[in-house]
Amino acid sequence: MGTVRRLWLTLLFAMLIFSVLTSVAWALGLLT
Amino acid sequence: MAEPSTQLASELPSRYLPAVPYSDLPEPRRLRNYLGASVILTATALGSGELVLWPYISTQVGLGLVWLAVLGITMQYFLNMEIERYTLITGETAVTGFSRLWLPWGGIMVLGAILPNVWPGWASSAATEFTFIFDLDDSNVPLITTIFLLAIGLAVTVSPVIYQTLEKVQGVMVVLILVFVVAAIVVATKGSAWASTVTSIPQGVGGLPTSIGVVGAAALFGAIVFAGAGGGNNLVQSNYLRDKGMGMGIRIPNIVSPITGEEVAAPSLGYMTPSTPENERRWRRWWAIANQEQLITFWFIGALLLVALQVLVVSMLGVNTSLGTGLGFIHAEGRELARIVAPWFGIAFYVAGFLILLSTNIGVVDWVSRLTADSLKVTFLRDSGFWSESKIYITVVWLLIIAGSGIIWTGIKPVALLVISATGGGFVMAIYSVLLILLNRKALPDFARLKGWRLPIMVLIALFYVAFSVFLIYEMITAGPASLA
Repeated sequence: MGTVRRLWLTLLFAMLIFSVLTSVAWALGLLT
Repeated sequence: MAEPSTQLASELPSRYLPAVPYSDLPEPRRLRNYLGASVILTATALGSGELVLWPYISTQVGLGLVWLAVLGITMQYFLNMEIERYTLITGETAVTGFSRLWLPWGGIMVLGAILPNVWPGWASSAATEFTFIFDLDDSNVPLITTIFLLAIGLAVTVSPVIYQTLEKVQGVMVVLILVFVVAAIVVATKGSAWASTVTSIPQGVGGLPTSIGVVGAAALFGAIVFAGAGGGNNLVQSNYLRDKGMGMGIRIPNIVSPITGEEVAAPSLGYMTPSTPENERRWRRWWAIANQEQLITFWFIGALLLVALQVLVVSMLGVNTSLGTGLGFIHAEGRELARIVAPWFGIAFYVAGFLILLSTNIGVVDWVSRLTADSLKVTFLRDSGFWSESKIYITVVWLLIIAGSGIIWTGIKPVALLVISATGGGFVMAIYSVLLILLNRKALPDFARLKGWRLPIMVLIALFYVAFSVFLIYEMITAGPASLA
């Protein structure tokens, strides 16, 4: 099940990047 | 397993692409070895039609149209099976088969994959769900959409390089993400009471649709297209069969993809199954297994979710056209769940929606890029030393990310973006449903050809997509594109 595992890891990684970037945007006061 | 013969097959058209050698069909294993070949297709299907468009329609007109959703996914089952038929017998993707009929079809399928999917419907829907989780203002959607797309682009590009590391630290990532979600909820929702926001449901958007006619032809067609996978997405089922080693796909050489670090079937031409009694027997078994696998993993799960999510939204909210033409119904649904079950349940509903849309969007970016890379690499860029499969893949990924990030700032709303993607996908289906009939009638050995009761069904399906497409194009020309919104 290579493709499933790969998409799962990509999903996790995307979540992580999204969390970091959103935190930065929030810390900069860009989210209201 | 007999080695491929040196004699070239005459069945497959070889005017535009080289002829292929004959090779016996491999003996299939048991069904359970192949269960899951359609799981990626199903997973990518969930985030659009099932989660957004159909529940949206239900809140507008009730459950009277559920049968159309089931009809939509049933039509896709038959389309998928014709895509699988070609790949099982030849090991080639259906898109390569279309290129054999006429070389530009491959390019048209590539455009048909890219153009409808640059519209960031999934990303903006996910961003909207994110604003529900943290009670943020709607004006944050473009920025969050951009961050969302950027995260997908980075993850798809970078994760292969650090794939091994990611696999080792996936537990840590789960924990980090959970910590983020919990901390963010505590910080961002401070002082805002979830239940009290029920009163902020957008009221009185006048003249909203209450019947099919008013939901709009494009939205309805789009929803039927997205009941299941939809658009060019179904074509990638060929690649999944090859990866899974089903039918002749097992003879396609696997390469360790530089994009993913995983073994996948290389972009390549296939073989032709010679007409022998033994091949015919194996074909019957393959066909039965492939049909059962599709029925269980794609049709049954997809149809169940289509119906269940519509029943859920209607039993929560009833038919309620005051929810607006956007994702207001998801907002209201979450608040209803929070009120009935528990406050955390409403948030969990948004988080689940967000995650499904994220995985759908990753799936979309992945399949569009893979279809493009695979198709171009067996046709126009076959001999290009510069354009490797991974270079094409990454280029398409960033094209989608950058275009989507630009489009979202124009202010087009998520549902409208999804409808654009879906109608575009519907046009593509109109084209390839006809091509599938031609290809599988013309290019396959007699015992595996499309015939019998499936032929009239495929003709009706093709007629449906073609008629709807022609109607929508006529509407667009006579009344302007805005008439479809």
